[in-house]
Amino acid sequence: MEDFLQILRTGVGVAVKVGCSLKDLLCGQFRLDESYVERRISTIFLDGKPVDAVGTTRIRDGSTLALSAAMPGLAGAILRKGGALAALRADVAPGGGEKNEVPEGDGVITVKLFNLLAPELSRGFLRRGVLLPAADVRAFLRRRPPAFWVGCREILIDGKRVEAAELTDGRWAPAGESVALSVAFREA
Amino acid sequence: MDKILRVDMGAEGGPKVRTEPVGEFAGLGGRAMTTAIISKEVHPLCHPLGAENKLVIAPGSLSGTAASMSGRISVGCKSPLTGGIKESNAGGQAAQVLARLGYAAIVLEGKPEGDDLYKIFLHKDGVEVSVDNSLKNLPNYPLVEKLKGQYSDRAAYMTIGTAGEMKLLAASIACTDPEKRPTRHCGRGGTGAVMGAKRVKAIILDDTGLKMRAPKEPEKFRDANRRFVEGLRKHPITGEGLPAYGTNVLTNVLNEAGAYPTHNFRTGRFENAAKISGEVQAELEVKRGGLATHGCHRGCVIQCSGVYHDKDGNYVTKQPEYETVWAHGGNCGIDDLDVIARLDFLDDNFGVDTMDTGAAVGVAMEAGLIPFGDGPGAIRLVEEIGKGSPLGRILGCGAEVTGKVFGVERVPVVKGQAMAAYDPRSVMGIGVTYATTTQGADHTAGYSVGPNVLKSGGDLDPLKPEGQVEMSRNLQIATAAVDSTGMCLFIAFPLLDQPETFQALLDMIGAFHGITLTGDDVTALGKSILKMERDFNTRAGFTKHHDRLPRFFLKEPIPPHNVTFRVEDEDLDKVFNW
Repeated sequence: MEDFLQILRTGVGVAVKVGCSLKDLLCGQFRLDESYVERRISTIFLDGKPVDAVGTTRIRDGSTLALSAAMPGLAGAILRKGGALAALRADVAPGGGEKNEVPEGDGVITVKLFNLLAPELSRGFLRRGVLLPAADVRAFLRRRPPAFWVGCREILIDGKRVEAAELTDGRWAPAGESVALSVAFREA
Repeated sequence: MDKILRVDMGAEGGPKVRTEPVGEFAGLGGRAMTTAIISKEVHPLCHPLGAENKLVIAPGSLSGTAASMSGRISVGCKSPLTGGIKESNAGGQAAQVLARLGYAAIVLEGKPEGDDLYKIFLHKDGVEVSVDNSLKNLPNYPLVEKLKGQYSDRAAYMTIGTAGEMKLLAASIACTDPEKRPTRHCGRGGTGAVMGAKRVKAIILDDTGLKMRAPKEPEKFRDANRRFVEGLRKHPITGEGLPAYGTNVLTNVLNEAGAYPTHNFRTGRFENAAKISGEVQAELEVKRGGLATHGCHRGCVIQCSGVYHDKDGNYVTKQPEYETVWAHGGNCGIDDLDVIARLDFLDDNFGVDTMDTGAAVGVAMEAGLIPFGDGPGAIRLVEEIGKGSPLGRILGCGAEVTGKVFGVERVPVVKGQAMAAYDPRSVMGIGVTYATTTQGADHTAGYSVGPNVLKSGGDLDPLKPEGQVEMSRNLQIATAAVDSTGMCLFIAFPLLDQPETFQALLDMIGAFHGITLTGDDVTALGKSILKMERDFNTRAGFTKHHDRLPRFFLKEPIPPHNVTFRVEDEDLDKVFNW
């Protein structure tokens, strides 16, 4: 799974229902435990702005959501969700994010997982499926070491089983298109 | 720690050593000690590189004990970089060893005639000051390598590289880590230049035959230390994030916030930040046989450092810290960790502050000397510092001098000292501290916080400027106090989140000295330090007009949030109204 972490840190597209609250997204659609969201996800950015109120911040199509554990430094304390020093942000929009009504519907958001959260949450997002530019997927697959392919039990493109070589040659994914990548891990 | 060592480097007939009781400075450690001596004994209008200035080296009040995290050493002087009072602290082994030797401070005074270079050797039986001109022009790594063969395996070293000998304004003082590498630096403010001006190349500290300092109430002390360590280990920052990824864990987060100064503070996002993030850095270190988790001194339980190897598995440098990765990385548009690690090594080897040097390179890029993103070019520029070429001496004097020489307007300094890796427009509270701290733009000056401090601000609305000012003041007070204990500032987070850990720290300090300590006592200590520092700076000619950010921060909105720094001057002037 370590191979996939950098992709998730850089950001992946995720198809979601938009118009809901951030809390509904995290706990409902992403099925994260409420206490995990409350305690472990200490720093949240929606479109680059730190979020304090997960219950009222609305998600809209095209948003970028970044999730992080608690961060060090004065800046880390300032950016923390609902932190005691949140007031020192001033202009990074305290409690940022969309609070007005957002129409409900289907949409795609970009999700980034930082630091401790990447290894903890990657598996769930990869199982659910993420959207990536075809060029990025091709570059990622070509950089994989032999050990990656040894551990790969089955490869499917559009439901059809293929060999690793076919996957890495990239002809199945024309440049400029998006790829829905889904990865299932064998339970340890 | 009941004595102070004074070495008069300018005495007739050669340096003279005298040891005196700690006297009126009893009970002080770290920043409290350096500030008390400098503010009382140094003429505020003296030339920082002249005989009237003093260099004070003080372990924290808990250093040399079994207290975890107590390995910070403070160095103080009148700063040649800022012109004001300076305290710069570092980890490494020096604080623990010096404290066990019983010295509350070393004070280097005067200035010798001639070109001889000295080393000072402290051991349990005394102090030896000797000429050693074979050390001339040695950078820190070969210098320590040469000295290591001459002293006990227990010795710790405080040294200056070639930048300190040249008295460059960004010169640092290196402290060796447990592996005896000169990787931990009192980097800020040019303390290395002051040591160089006094012609002291190395201080060797050997605690062979000495034991840890004993607390007045051993049982209470042991119990408090245990609770303190438990608190550090269970907190997600000190127990997980910092050990796993080091301080560079901040890169992705600050970049996402749009607060990551990029291309010399032109924008708040670096498109390739992920490539130099702490997560990638840690994975690379492990893959190459280095370490992603390592302590800078014995007794550290956070272990936020590491060891960086090249692709062939050879040591390059210690794990570059967030501020270094930013200064030489995103600030200069460089996205190659190997280049950044090489620059970190060069900074440590020549003995210069990574932040002011990185900022100077960024300013040089702004001036057109080399383009942003030119990694090999940045290495060539920093190598000029080691050569002592005219260009190298300019860069080694930091961002402000570089900006003046090359006619650059966008120079991110306050009181002559470069800012760190947080844009004050995007995180305005840090801007308040950059502007008003006595130290020049210093990201650590308002760093530490405890529950008592948060509550001590009264009922002002923190969303209003006066509330932010109040909070910045309280943070600066708390930080000054923690800087006096020798404790690493990273303990701040468990103190903030876990009242029982804050209480454990108070209990530990109290049990060591046989007193009962309260949060109010901590606040009073912090205030007294800041008062002395403000007073010194006022006498040195500083006014409220020096407590300002460069005007471009007020005029140029920074993308992606397109904000400017908007705290009013009159609000900044209230920070020290207490």
